[in-house]
Amino acid sequence: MINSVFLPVSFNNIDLIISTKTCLSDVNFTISDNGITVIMGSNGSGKTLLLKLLAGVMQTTTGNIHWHQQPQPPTLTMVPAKAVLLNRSVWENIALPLHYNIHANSKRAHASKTNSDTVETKNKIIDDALAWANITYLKQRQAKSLSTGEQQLVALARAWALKPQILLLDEITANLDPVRTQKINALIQDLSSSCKIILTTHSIKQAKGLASDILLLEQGCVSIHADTDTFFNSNELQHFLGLV
Amino acid sequence: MASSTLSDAITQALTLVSQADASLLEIISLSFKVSLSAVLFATIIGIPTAMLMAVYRFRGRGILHILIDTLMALPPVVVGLIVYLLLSSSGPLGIWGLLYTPSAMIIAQTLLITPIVIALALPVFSQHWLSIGEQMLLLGLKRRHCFSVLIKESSNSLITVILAAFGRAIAEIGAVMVVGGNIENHTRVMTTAIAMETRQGNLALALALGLVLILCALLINASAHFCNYYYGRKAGQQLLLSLPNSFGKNNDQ
Repeated sequence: MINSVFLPVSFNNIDLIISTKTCLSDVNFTISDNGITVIMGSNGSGKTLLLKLLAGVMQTTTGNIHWHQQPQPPTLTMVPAKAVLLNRSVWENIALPLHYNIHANSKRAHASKTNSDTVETKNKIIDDALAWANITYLKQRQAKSLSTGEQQLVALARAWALKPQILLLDEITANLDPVRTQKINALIQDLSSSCKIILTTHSIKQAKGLASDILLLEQGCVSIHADTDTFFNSNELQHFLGLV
Repeated sequence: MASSTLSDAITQALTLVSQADASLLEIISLSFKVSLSAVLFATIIGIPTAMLMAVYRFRGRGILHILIDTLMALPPVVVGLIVYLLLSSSGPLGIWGLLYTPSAMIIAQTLLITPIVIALALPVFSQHWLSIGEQMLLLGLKRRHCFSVLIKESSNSLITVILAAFGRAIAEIGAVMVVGGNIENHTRVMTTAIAMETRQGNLALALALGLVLILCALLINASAHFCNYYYGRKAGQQLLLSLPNSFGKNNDQ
């Protein structure tokens, strides 16, 4: 369903200094073009900053982010730890960015679709997104009146509706109960078959269950980047957990 | 003696108001016409300006901010004087012949309340932009697309801003006195009439107009509170902005 043609991305010698504080230092790694890459690290280690650099909402101080063999960066979107929803219904929350994206895509492709075609396409995508996240029953509810877990599902459905090539999830289950976390993990797993997911988390269980590769950040530096099995047998993880 | 005069004046004032006295109605009608027009123009100029300042970072933004804050503190009589100099027959806009007309009063009040609209709307937009801006950009919206989103997100607080500007405009006296001239049946508004009738000892009419002004203040504050309550309940959240008590303040003679 979601676009899947994209290529890996490399972080080359990235430094990020904010107000004289070095937040990221000499970050070098390459993210593969499929599966779920999990970024772990303690609070303030620079996980969210890394996602923001990738998303392009922040600029590196030195170094660069290289999209391999791509003329332009792939489409991506991000779901933060606390869902940012607008003061309108769930349906409208999903419809708003979709409207602008469909409009921009049709302009870019010089498409000759009529307005009714566009509206029909948009409505179908929204209904599919709601059904995918299993929240069709929330369709007409005011988004801000929902529980934290429901809001996070709306944010995830909204991201799904945009069909990004890369989806950035920033501690998306940090404030959720175990049942809701499990449901969201299942949705993330489902999404990973059709788009690249980069997820930050503090949960070892979540990382073990979802990750194809894991990157550990410590005080703004990459401590280890390895596949899941190697990571869970590494000294770096033991050190991170305070076991050695 | 003084108290009996006052009670007589209040009785007369209530009679005038209850009988909807023609001269009273004319003054009230012109006051509303001038102030509502000024609020409309100030909103058209002020809201987009505040939104641009909140969403974009550009060279000179800080200076513009300081300038707006300074203009907000300008005494109305100085604004009146500037408009007077511009519109007087020897001024650059004298050819329009607007001096001592309601149009001149609208221009003066627009100049007076536009900085207020910008200064009050800017933190509202900035706060909303801070909370939703980055996410909107990450969802593929351009900054210019976010304007309509911001307006809708801030609508409840913006109603309060506009009501505050209206309160400021209708209670203003210095500027409208200078550029309007308080001409009977032409440019006489509530505040200028109150000042004149008080000077002439016609306390009944002055008090009647005062009562209407107080009623306006009451309605404006009640509307602002209702908006906050209604939208606050609808959004399931507390609103952060309350109506500044601008009514009757900073109005020099």
